[in-house]
Amino acid sequence: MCGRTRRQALGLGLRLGVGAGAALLLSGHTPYGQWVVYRKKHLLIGCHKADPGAYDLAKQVVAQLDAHLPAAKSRVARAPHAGRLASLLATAQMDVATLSGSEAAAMQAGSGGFAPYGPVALRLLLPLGDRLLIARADFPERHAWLVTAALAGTDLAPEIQTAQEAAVPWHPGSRAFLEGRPEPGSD
Amino acid sequence: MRALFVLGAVAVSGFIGTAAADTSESKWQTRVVIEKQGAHCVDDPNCFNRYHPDIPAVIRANPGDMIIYHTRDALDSDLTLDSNADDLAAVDLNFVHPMTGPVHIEGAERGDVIAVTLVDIEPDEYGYTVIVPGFGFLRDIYTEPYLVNWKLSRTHAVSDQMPGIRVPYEAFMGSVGVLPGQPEVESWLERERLLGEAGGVALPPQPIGALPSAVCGPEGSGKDQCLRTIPPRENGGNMDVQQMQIGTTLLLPCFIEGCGLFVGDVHYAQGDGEVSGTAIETGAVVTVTVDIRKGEGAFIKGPEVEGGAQIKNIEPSKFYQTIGLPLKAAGEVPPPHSYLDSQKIADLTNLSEDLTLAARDALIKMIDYIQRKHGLTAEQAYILSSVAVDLRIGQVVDVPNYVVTAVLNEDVFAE
Repeated sequence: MCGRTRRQALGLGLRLGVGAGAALLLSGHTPYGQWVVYRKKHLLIGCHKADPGAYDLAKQVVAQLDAHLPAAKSRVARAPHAGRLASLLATAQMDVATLSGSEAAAMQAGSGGFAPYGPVALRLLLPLGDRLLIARADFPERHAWLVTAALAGTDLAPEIQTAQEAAVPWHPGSRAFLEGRPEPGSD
Repeated sequence: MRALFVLGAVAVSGFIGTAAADTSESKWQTRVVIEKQGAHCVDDPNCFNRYHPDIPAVIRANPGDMIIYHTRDALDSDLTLDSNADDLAAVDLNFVHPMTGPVHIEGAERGDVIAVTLVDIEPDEYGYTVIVPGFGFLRDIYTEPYLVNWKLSRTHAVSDQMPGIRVPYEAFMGSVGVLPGQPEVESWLERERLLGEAGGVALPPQPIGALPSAVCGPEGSGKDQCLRTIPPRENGGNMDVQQMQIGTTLLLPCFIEGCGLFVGDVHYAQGDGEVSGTAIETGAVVTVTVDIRKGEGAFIKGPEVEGGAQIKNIEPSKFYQTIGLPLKAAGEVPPPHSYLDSQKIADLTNLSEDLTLAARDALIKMIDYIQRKHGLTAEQAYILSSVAVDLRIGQVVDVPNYVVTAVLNEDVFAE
């Protein structure tokens, strides 16, 4: 179970927005330099239409982040299908998404329908029921720590064990929070 | 009564029987059709989204042929009538703009001009207008994604999100052009590189998502030289000029053998300025004919248009106009001026001979008017301005205050 209470952690969250902006500035593959303006302002939570329940879940994630980590200025981004999420994640146009375990594993391996996008290095932020909240592997540790802190212990993720196996490896920032270690330094 | 029905049926049948000789049986046109294949450009051998002379023609056509392009929307999107702003946030802009073609025009060669006459545009039933964060003329003011879904017919567009608005059908090709030659590619890349280094908005080649992948993709033979489709250039492309209506003729200089004529990005309707960054965007079936003007490339170095009454036919019967001057607040640096990194611009409240700032002033005043007079939200007013407001130059002599006006087509408000 969480080593640090959610409320303790959330007090540290207000700095996420600026940090997220810096991280998203690395989104060098976006075709419009201007488009980065939006994606550095907001933490996009990806989902896709082919998984109807994922849209509601993403909206719940955003609601929790709005309540507990408002500086993230989180927004839902609904792709038409999982392949579009792979494209956006692979090209650093998006950092975080909700996926099923099988989708996450296939995307990580670049297999099946995700082959055109190549392997996408993903890390687990939190399991959310029968889906996973994943991030790009280069999502900063501190941001992962803060997002996990905002969601762990809520109705979306009431009981989390870092020992539990998942389709993709844990993000070290999320693991740090769940194991009670302090917020990582600024990235 | 039954006997009468049978008699009538026989009579009708007999009439139909003679229909074998009606006008539908007489043909003279040669039709060259480039159809869509698959859901998206990546699935379609007739589709590409970068410009390079090595992109192979998908079909050949003769001057005078009816060339029929089945085109995709500008974002190569999956948007539908029930889409919302959450869907817009997941658009992958690497896929902009899907073009249909290119078509090799028999007999055309470098140094010629091709005259492309727009014969018809049959729009899809769905179109959209969006505010894309970070894009558009007022991108510093409208920073959140916004989506309006339109229901289209051959007469007008309506939207549940824009109640009381009917936008007339005034379709044109947002993008139409020819492939560049190798000298043009090298020249244009260099000038855009220099602009980018100076802080301007210039997009370098992006192999990810680029089509055709054999030429422009990550392993493509020309991956470092495939031009993006966002800026219009001397080869045409994304010009977004609404006067190019059905019946007008677009002149394009030819840079390679066969020219490589492409079409896409149809706009169902658009104001001069396309201020939100998009018109009413839709896929369509576009028919053109082409003639060759031998050697006229010596005089026509970029796209030019010949037209007639079309320019009058798209005028409103009732309008409201705001007058824009190059004025701003002290300390303000509008986005188009930011790359100049000028403290002088920041400090001034009145810029000299500045059409961009005058256009911004006129547009902001128009959006205020639409909200005040017609009760639309700021986002709705910005969207409406993108599809039904024309930015026009008033004068470029009365220093320091050049004038740009914004003209609202008041016909869009349903009686």
